[in-house]
Amino acid sequence: MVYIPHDNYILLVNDKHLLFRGLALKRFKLESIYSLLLLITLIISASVIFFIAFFLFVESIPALSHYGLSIFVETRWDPFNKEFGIAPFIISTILCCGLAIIVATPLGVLTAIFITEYCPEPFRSVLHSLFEIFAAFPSILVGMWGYLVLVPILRDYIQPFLVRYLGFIPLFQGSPRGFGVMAGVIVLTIMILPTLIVISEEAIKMVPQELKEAAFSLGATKTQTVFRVVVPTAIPGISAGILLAIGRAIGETMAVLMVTGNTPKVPTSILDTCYLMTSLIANEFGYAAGIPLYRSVLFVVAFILLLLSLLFMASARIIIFRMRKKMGLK
Amino acid sequence: MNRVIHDRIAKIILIVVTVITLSPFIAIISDIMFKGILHINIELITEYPRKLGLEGGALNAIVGSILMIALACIFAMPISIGGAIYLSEYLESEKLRNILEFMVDTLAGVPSIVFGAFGYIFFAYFLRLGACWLTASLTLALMMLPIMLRTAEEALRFVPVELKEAAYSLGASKWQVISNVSLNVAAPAIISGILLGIARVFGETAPLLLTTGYNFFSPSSFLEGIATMTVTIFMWVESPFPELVNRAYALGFILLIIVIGIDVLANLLSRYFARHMVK
Repeated sequence: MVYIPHDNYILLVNDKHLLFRGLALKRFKLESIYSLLLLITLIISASVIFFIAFFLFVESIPALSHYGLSIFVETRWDPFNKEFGIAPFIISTILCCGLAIIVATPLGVLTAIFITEYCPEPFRSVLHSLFEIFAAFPSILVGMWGYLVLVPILRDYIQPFLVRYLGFIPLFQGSPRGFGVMAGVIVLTIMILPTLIVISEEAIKMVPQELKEAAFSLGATKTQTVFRVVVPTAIPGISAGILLAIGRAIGETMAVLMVTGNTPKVPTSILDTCYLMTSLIANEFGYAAGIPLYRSVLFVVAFILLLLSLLFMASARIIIFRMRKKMGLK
Repeated sequence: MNRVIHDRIAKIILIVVTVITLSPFIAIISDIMFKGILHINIELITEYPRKLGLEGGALNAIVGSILMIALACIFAMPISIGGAIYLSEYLESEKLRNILEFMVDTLAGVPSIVFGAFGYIFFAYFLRLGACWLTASLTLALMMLPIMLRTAEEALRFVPVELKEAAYSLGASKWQVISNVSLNVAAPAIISGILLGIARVFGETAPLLLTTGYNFFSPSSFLEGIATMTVTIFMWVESPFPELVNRAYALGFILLIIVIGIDVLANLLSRYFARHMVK
């Protein structure tokens, strides 16, 4: 009789204890379910890139096993006779992107120097935000401008002039069509300039103030400080920007597609039409979808595009990472 | 004296180069603005196309773009914000985090046309969805993912530790701290990231050429083709009819306003967040 209440008491305590443990357990379980769900979302996000690479690779196997590596050097492109040489597209891409980088790098870097080092304040933020907005500019609108404004100007005014006065150089021979390498290079330059400028700006801003002050204290002028101290220090960051810009140029589709003329042959002068890898996929996917080998060739091209852009992207990242470490930032 | 002249010449050269760099952008924007305003009319945004798009408006494209982005956001938002929370709050190993961040970043560098090819082969062909609204939205969701995830992650990492510790000291669990404190404080920056993601894909055309199909009306199911503003502009610009080219300008003008508007809004939000955090 004595220990009934005692028992009860214990039971009660136990009950309370159990109740409490139950709540804690429930909370613990919920927490772990949440974290598991979050982990799953993270795994999905991180694995997309492998998914893409895997599917593109699997799809490009038929063409690679049928034609071997000769597909990369063959220059004849005649899908309906099953001749698939993608060399013209690779060469066009290299030519246009290479020229665009050569044009864009000095323009972009000098603009970035002006914005960060010389520009007075209200204009500086305005210019900075402007180029940030241009970086997200829809490429179809640049393509539209290229197709309706740039190409006629090139055809009617600039290219006849080039042919007449510089025609003795093989690079400027051909007929003034407007469409072609030249228009492609201009449009690509426009598309990559914002990226280049924004990243070069960051790189120049990262240069420690002490370095500049040291240069000034030695009696260097502003220009000397900027070009002999600031820019050389910022070169790793600037080159990362250039690499990212190359990646972007390689992947650019719509703007280029609308102005390059798109004939599958190797361009020999800047007046020639050309056909870039991205345009090839965008233009011919509709016809190719039903023909397995044709489609597979387009996936080979897509896979190369993926590898190239990842290569440039990754090397840019590594440079930025190292530079941050060196400057003691993270 | 020589040094002063030297400095001044350098400055003038830099100004000239900056003007050269700016000029094509100003040329493009003013071209689209002037011709767009000239040809914009109420029919364009209130009527569906008639006679295969030769007459009528572009309501199908405007509605299509919005529907497609909305569905893409529904897919991309939970996954990217969830991933960001795990990266910033749960993951302890610095090394693993760097690797995962790198993998997400590489996704941001994939060319849009490659996303299109993948979207076609995986969603349309392998999962047998066909070229439709759902396929296009899933493809775009993948494109938005890296921007949204990385912005949200940065924002969550900027949340002051004191705030979180205060919540922990009141007995809040980890999840309560995340959902009630971190996410609330970081909300403006996370929304800014979402807007940046939207701005990035709103102007996309290349992946949509392979994944949307086309539709002269609004889609009535997820598995129907869908029209978008960008693809419509592309079709109209290359058409031989001057009337359609004019309408392409008008539609391009609307697209430009939307994209720049979203961008500016995102910038303002992230600036608001930065100011808020510094204080």
